[in-house]
Amino acid sequence: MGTWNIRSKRILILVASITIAMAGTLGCARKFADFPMEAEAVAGLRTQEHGIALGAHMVADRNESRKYFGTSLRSRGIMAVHITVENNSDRSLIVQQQDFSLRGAIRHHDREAAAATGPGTTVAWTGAVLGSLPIAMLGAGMAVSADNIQTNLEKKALITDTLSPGAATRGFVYFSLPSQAREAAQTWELVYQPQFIGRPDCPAITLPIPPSGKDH
Amino acid sequence: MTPTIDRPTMLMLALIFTMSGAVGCTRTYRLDPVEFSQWPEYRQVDMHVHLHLSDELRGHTYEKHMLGDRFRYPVGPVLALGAAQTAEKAFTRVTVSEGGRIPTVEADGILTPDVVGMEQATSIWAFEAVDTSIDLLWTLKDPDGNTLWAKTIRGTSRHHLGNAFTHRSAARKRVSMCVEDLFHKSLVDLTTAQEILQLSGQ
Repeated sequence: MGTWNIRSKRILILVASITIAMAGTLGCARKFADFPMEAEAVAGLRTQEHGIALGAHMVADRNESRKYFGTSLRSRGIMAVHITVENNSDRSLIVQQQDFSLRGAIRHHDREAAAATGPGTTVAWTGAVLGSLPIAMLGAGMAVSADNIQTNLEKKALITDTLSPGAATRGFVYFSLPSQAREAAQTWELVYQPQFIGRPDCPAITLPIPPSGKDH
Repeated sequence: MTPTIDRPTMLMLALIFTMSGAVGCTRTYRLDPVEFSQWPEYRQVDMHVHLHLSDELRGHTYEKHMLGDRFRYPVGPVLALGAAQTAEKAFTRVTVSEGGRIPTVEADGILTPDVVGMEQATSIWAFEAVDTSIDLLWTLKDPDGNTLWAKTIRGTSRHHLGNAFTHRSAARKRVSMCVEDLFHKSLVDLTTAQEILQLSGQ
């Protein structure tokens, strides 16, 4: 009986230690790298038309995606494109996510993109039902992680703005990929329909984005 | 003497523990109107603006699901009140309507705030600071329906989650800080936007 008590205490201490260690490693809010200001200029994907300078950088590489988003978005069927718009015209310009499209893909609302990234809650449920604390903590850690990935996606998304002459804006637009395009290296075409205030008939701007070589 | 737990009690405790994890509950955080303090410096725009507060805005509730629990934040009334206070500070004359459709009005511009989204990060640590954000899209149109200016303003706050005893007050604090930040930024943008100043002739 005495031996059992010492053993059970040791087991309890071990379980508590594992739980605390897992909570510590998995539960903390994750920090994601900010996207550098110069990235699209380095990639050279820029065009200037109708008084608008349009820049784009596609986050197709798995490691780059993990760096900025904590997960490989492309393997989940999402393509993140960082967009910069500079208004060099003499008119004000309204920029919003729905002005952009990627030929061969569907624009993903950032909230929908976020929803596709986190299986953590399901794992947490399994853990809770099993009644095993370490598994539940692992699930909680994953759910928290998925939640913070979602918040990070929102934070980096392009938001609606009115650009006065000389102003610029930047942010990510997320596109949904068809299954055959998730792994293939291909040339993409970003299409932007500018919305000038008081000038509704501005032609669309197309920016071809070639495969980067590490396009997977 | 060492206290012992018999097998049925142990099984009962295990069952209660399992059920507590498996059965989710709903927590609703009702929010008091935010008392705005220390508005940023601004110069009122000389313009008659009609502010329309839609049913979607006034009834907006943010819901978050976590580990089987549902957390509800009915932020709509607080946002509607904040939007009205902000507009009244930003413009010399403001009329307000509520409901599903914008009525026909005579004004220099029709201003509508719409919730784009609200997000709140999570942690399993009670004292870890988490980020909260609310995105509000302001749109100013002329009486013919042409958009003159549009901008999404993001209010943010960082505050700890709170423990079992303080989670309600911590949640209210997080959202209040975020709403205050949102309308402070909104006031600055509404009173400095070139397009709005041009429209007012300033």
